[in-house]
Amino acid sequence: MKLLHAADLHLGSPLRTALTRDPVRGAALAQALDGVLDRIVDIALTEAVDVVLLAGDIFDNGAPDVTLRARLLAQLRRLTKAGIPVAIIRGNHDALLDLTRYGPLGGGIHLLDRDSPTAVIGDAAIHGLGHRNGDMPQSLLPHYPAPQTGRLNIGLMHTSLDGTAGHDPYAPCATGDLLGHGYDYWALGHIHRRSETIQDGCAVVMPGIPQGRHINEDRGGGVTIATLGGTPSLRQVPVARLAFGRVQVDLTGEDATGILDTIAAALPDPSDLHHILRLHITGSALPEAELLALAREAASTRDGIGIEAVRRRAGVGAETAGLLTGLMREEAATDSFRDTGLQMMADLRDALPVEIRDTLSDAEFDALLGDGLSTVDQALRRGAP
Amino acid sequence: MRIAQLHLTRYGHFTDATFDFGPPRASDVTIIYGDNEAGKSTLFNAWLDLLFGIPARKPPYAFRHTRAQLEIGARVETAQGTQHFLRTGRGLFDGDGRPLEEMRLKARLPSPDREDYKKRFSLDDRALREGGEEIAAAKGDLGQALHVGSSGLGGVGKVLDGVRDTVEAFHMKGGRRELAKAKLELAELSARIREDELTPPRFDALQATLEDAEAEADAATNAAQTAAQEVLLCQTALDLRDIAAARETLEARLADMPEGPPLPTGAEGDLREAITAQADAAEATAEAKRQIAAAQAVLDDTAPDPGGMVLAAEVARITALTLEDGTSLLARAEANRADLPRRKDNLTEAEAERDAALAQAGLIGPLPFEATQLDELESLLPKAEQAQNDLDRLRDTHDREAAAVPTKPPAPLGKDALEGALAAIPDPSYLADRRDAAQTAREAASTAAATLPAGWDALCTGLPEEADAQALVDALRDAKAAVTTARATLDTARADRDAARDIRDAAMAQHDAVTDADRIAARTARDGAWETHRATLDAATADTFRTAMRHDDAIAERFARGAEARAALTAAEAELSRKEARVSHAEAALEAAENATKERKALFNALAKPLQVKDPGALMPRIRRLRDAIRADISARAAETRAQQAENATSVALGELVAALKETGVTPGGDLRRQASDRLKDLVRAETAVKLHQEAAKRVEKAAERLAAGKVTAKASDAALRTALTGTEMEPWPLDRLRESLPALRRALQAEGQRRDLAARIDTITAALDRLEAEAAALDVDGDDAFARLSQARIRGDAALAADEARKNAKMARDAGEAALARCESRAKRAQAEIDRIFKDQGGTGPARDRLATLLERDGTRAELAALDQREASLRNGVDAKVLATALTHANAMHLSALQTKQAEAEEAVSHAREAVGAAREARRAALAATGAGAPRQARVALLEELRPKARHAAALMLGEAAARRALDRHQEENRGQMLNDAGAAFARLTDGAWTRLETGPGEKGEALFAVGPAGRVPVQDLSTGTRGQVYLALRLAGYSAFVETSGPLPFVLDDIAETFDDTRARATLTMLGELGARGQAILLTHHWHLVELARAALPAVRVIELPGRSELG
Repeated sequence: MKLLHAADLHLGSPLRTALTRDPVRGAALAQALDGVLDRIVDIALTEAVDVVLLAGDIFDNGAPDVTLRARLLAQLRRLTKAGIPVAIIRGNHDALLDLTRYGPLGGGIHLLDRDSPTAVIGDAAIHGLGHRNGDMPQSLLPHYPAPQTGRLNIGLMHTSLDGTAGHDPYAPCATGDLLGHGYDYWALGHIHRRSETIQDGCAVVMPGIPQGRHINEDRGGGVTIATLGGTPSLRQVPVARLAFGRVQVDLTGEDATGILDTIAAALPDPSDLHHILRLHITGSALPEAELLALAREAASTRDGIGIEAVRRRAGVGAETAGLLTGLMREEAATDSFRDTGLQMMADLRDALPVEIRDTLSDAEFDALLGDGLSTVDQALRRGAP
Repeated sequence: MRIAQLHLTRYGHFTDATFDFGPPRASDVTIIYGDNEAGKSTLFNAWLDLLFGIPARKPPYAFRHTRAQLEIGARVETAQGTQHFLRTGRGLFDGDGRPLEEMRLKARLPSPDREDYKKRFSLDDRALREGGEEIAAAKGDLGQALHVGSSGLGGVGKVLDGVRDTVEAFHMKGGRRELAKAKLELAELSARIREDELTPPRFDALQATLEDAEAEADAATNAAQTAAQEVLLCQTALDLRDIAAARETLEARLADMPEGPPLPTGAEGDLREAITAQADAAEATAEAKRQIAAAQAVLDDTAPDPGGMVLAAEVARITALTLEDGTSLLARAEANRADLPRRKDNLTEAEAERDAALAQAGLIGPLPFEATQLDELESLLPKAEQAQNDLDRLRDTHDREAAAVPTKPPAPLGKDALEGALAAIPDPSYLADRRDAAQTAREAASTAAATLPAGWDALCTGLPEEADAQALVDALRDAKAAVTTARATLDTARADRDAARDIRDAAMAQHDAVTDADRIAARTARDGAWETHRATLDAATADTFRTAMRHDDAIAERFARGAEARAALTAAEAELSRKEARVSHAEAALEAAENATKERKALFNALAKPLQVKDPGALMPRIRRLRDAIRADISARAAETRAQQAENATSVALGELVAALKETGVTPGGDLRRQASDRLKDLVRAETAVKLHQEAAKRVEKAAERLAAGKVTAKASDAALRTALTGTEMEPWPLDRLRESLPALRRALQAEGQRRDLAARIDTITAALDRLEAEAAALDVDGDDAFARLSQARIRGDAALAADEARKNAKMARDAGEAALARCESRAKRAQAEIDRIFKDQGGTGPARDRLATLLERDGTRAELAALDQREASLRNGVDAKVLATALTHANAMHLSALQTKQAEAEEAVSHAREAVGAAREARRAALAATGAGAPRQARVALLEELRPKARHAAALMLGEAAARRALDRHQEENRGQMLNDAGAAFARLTDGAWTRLETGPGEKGEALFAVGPAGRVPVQDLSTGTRGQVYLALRLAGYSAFVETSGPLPFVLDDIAETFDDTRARATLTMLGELGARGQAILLTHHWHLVELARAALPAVRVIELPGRSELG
């Protein structure tokens, strides 16, 4: 049996980058995000799979838009018309899959839950239990049906596995327990970073988010094509048209021209993908804002590359300073300045829209102060802000 | 930090120049004197390059030595002692050439920035002037003025204001700045999201609306159906009443009609067909009779014309005659008869034109030839003309070339040999480059071998590969680590074994041994005592039995307790055995590790000893240095070999040049290269003259050849032309006369062609007319010519043909009419027989059509009655008889109308309800098909992400600005008092008492700086430019003093600062420099010798370094 396994589409959830405000680039980026479901269906049709598995979080709680459900069903109907059934479970973001509220999904689309946990498709029994509520602190594995003899047994589960940073704990369970349950393939969802384990003829696969939406979602970008019957054969097929990434750049000893050349050399080679990058710069005393402008200048001649942000780690220049800078650092290190500075930052933070107040959290104080000292130091050196 | 010595190994125009500032003195002042261009600025920049590095691109002092060759050394005294630094283009090194981190030097500086450092710790005339201007610009800002003066950093407040402006451009309370505008945009986007998003509640509302509408539609449909049934019942009742009335009417009508059987199926059609056939036959009979009469009338009135028929046939024959080309003879004759006179006129004109053209060509009589011959003549004549022209041109060329041949010069000798020898001499710069390269390579080799022991090259024999050596070092390190690990493992194993042994001993101590034999013996004794006691049953045996029983119980209890102790002992012994096995294993492992270490140590020693290395950590550096050194040595040898080869090659080439010169007849001497070059130029000129003569002679020869060929060509062309003219009077004519006659000849030929065409055309026309005349002569009619006779014959023939045709047609019509008359009579008889058959037994009289109508009406009335019966049965079917009976009693038109009104209202309600359902369904469909809120949601998040770094930047700037302002306040607060006093005293001395001090006070915008003197108190910005410069100098000197107090000494460099001062001020400046030198280090660069003399007078201990002039350096 050949199957396509995807999860965590988070339809309707926007890209968290300011680069979409660019009129030209924005259209391409929006298409990269909006077209992900179409591309997954295209792949399923091209690969002529026997079934498509969607392991939860098809929608996103941040975009409770019923039109997205209509768009989902329109795409899934392309599959069922071609004779490809679909098996779905609900993740913790899938309130829009409420059948009693929004009606049935249509023929050939199986929503697996406690009332109907198993669908037999071809020679496979596909088992799944979905999330009914937002919280799921216990493992769902004990509630999964026993494997059916004489069939391939495939499990769909939305789970945080043993726990992963950045993801809320949902239906936690151990990979070893899944491997020992007697199924042939575990189609998982919830963790946005791809992983796979194959042991004793059983595969446990977390396909990752098919299209990353922000800088912390840089390890997915595809769906899994699995061929079962014997040792599972797994293949990741790229879906993403847009890749977030982090690039380390060392600017030690570089002058202005050298900075541009070094940054340009650190950028990835041209490809079909759009790249949105965050640069982590060392060896430069220049302020982050100035480095960001230089980085964008360096990337301006490269199609398909955008610089999302720059983070600077204090280097040599910031450690040794001039007369006034030395005094600035002494003053900045005093408790009284810290109290005043935190209050100033809190005032500015309170003025910000609530969604981005975390960017000025107290934990950021030292980094911002460091950047501010460098910025003012540079301004004093050149005699202009 | 103090500079003790600066060594410019290769820098600017200096090579190996040392500037010694000596040990510190009570007043550490050094004056460096030199003319302009002597290198004062070079020296200062070398100091800066030492501190901050040589610029990567186009260093200004890399004009004599390349950047890679630049090298600056320095001996620097710090609180930690004396240190040596070496700066090259590759970086910073210590005195032994080991690379150093830049931080080792920069950490000792108050600023990592070159320009910042230069501004604060050096001063030149321009800085003095600009510093004064900055103080003036600071105006009321005392703090800034003092800061500018003391630190050399101007414009701080302005910069910080700019920083604050940047922050406030992003956000300011109550201001409509970028953040506030963005929040407005965010609010608008949120509103758009709310508007565009199909939220679940909104979807629920749409769904509820649809369901409500569907329920209402169902109810309305039910009501409409009820109303329709009531209408139907009432209508049925009324219909039944109508049926009863209609039946009575029909039965009354049927009573007056014939009673016979119903007409059989198809009888009506058959009867109507028969009646129609009867009528048609009567009408056809009349028509046939009329046709017969008309035909007979034509036959009676028309007579036949046999003669006319003969003429008609003859005219047709003549008309059909054709010419050879297929055209009609008659048509051609009629067409050409009128053209004949005009064509004859044209013939005469063509003959006259031909004769005139011949006369113009100079010919008399007939045409000398036909057109093809004229074509040939026109072809041959240009060739003959061209050949004649070519011959004339070739003759001119030959004569010109023959006149231009120069006198033959003598041939030069030895030119090629001399040229080869001269080219073989290498360029002088080639030899110099080879020598320089060899020297540079040798220096590099010496540097590479500098840290190696004497005889290092011997160590390079069999130098191991780095990877092998590194593997050996790693293996030795790993082996030692393995020994340490094994030793630790053994210690742990031994400790574990000892602990297990203690446990085993403790278990043994607790073990209270009771064997199975003891148990059996006690049981046996007990049983025996019991048997004895049971036999006797006395007290004694009872006591014995009690004792035996207690002993047996005690033994049993001890055995039970002992089982646990035995198990513990067994476990302890097993554990001890395992621990001892681990100890043995660990001992073996340690021994193996130690043996491995010995083996690897031996291997290491075998490798390292020849390289004079003991420490494993030193092996790899030694190998790398040796490898670098041997590579550098090999490179140096190769470079030296190349240099020697270049010298040898040059020597050989000069020898060959001498020989080549002699061969050309010159005696060698002096500058051989120049002599050879000049001689070679002479030889080249001579060779060129010989070549010119040879080429001229060749050109004459070729011209003669071409002239001969031209003559042959011209003769052949003329002969061909004359052959074409043979037999004509034009044969002897020259070419130009022939050329002139050609146009007239061409016209004469064209005219002759036209004449011939016209003559042929006239002959053809005449022949056609004659033939027509002959053919028409036999026609028996009157007429002057063929055309007239033909016309008369055609008229009579046409009339005869028409009469013949009319008679034939009349006979045919008469015959047809008679046949039709017979057929009509037969059809009329058959029709009457059919009518009689159908009316049999039906009764009635009159015409057939009327009788048929009556019978049809009778049968129709009978059918209506049957239909009424069927209709009534249908109406009653399925309707409750009682309900129908009730309805029959109430039914009337008014009641029906009321019910119909009610039904229409119900159906209208259904229609409205269905429209509402459609609208609700469409609203839901449209909502689901909409694009949703994706776009505004994306726009909102993007805007937030755009704000995020701006907020960070604003916060960072805000914090940086706050820290900077606090630092500035603190700096000013800490320094202003003492510094103001120091600066005021310095200012008074610099101005020789013209001003007595500096003080602060209220100014235009807060506290300001004032100069006070005998003439009063003046704001510094109102002082003259020069005096403001003095204020700046005073502040800088005071600022430096303050810096030294807190941070230790640093060299303070003044570059020609006092050149415009008068002696008094210069002396005061130098005195203060001496005081500054007592706390730090002062260096004055000058090209004014009188300043040196003034310094020596004011500062007896001053150190003077004189720079040599550039010419002295070569």
